[in-house]
Amino acid sequence: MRSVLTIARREVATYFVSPLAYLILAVFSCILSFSFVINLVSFANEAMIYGSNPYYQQQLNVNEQLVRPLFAGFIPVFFLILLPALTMRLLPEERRQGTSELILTSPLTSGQIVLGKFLGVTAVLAAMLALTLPLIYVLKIVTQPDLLMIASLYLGILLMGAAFLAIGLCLSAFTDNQVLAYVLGVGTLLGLWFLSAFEGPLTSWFGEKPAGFLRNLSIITHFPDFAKGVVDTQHVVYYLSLITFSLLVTVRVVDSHRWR
Amino acid sequence: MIEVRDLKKSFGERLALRGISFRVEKGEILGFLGPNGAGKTTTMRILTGFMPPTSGTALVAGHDVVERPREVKRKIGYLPEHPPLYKEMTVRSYLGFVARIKGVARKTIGSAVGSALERCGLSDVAGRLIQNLSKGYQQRVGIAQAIVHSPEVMILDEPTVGLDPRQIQKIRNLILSFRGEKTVILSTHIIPEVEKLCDRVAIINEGRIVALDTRERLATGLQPSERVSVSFSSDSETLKGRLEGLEGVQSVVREDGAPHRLIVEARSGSEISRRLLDLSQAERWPLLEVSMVRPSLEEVFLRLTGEEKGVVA
Repeated sequence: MRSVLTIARREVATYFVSPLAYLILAVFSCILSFSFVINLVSFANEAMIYGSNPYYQQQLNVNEQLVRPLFAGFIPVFFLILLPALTMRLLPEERRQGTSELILTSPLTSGQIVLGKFLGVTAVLAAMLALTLPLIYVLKIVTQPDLLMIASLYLGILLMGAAFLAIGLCLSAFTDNQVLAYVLGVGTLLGLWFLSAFEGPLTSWFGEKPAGFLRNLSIITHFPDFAKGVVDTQHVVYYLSLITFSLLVTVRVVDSHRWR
Repeated sequence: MIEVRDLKKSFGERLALRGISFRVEKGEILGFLGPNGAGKTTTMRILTGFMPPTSGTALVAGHDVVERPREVKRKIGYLPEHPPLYKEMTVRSYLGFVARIKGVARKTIGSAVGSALERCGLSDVAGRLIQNLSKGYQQRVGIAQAIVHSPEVMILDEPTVGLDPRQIQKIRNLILSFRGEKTVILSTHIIPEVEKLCDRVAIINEGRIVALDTRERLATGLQPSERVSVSFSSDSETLKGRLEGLEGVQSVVREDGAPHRLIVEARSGSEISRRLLDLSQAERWPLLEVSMVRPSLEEVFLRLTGEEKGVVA
């Protein structure tokens, strides 16, 4: 475990000496904060206008109208585009600069190497999420957000993001070309995302069961429940299995490089 | 310390190693000499556990590299042909990282890094980013990463390639300081390097070891004839005929640009130099110098690797 953390720590340090991580963090928090302010102001206006009407007052809900659309709507799209940019360099970079010879001739297992890299990049994701906490704090000052729902939302975001990262890491093991790794990552995530879009036509062709199976495979259908404040074990298990599966495939690929 | 038996490796159809066997004793420096693509790097990568052999066995410090790779890896320091540097790190943090993944105990990491820095002459640049260092310094960082966990065995793949003569001198002195303390295998295609550094030389060609011995024995053992250089204080022309008449002499050649010097080549074992001295004393020749001409390792190398004479490998 100590070696795993050593690898992870070095990975995090590498992200923060290159402009890439700062850029991604900056883009993420700028866009999110900007949308937050706009939405907050328009929500406040609505509240001012309709607040006196008892019927409308009941309809006003900061969680439903501000937090959920902003986080649940914006973040998955953002992750789809930007997280593969974080993972694309993980394994190709080692081979490009020849450090794979150091790593693979050290007394480490492929599992320790892969897990270390995954934890490192997941720590960057956690840093990204930490940057959004001030928004929640602002909300807490001006209104009464549902903190439990927000906690569940963050758990969902973290799980989904980690699954995206695991898939990206796995694909980076197949190629030495970072651009290719990025495109493969976005493409695969898009493919997994749109599995749910085929539900309609598939139901009419093959019936409910195979269509439902496909929908359950989609990376996006497991997310909305978290945003509603529901932590359902099937969704947690889904993301954890996706992560485990991707990491196991990565370990196999790294091992196969040793035997070439 | 290192024992390799009938090591073979194929990459698809291509046979990179066709059965390599050798032993290296503790504290010895063995040089791999061979043309590019002869199998030097492949052999080293198998020894370090970077890739497995197709067949054959390799033992490092008593452990099989395939069966107990982690024990072997702990005992080996490896400098690949391109030093494996994370260039965005400082020298000190990089060496700390390597020490950790090599399994150096937490408490001793600081002193391990400190002594590697000092030994490789890196103390002054410890806080600098590796990417800002010159190639010579980067190479030294590469060697420092190979010794930071005090391995018993060091495997250095072309440690001086691409450096200027002064940097080469420093790296060589560093390697020489390991003699007797660590077991070293280094590869090179620079012949003077083997002559200066190595106790024994293995000449590798097309996936085989074609010769393995000390430098002197390699040179003399492969010599088909004895050669002696003779200098006289007067013109040597008249003496040339007398020398040609000696028993066992195959040829006498006047050396270019030195009219008083002759190169006498005789059948090996004919003790030509002793008989030549006896003769010159008896005849009172104006003799200035008699010396054996040893074939250079370069000649041996070129003969064994089947390249044309005069072509520098």
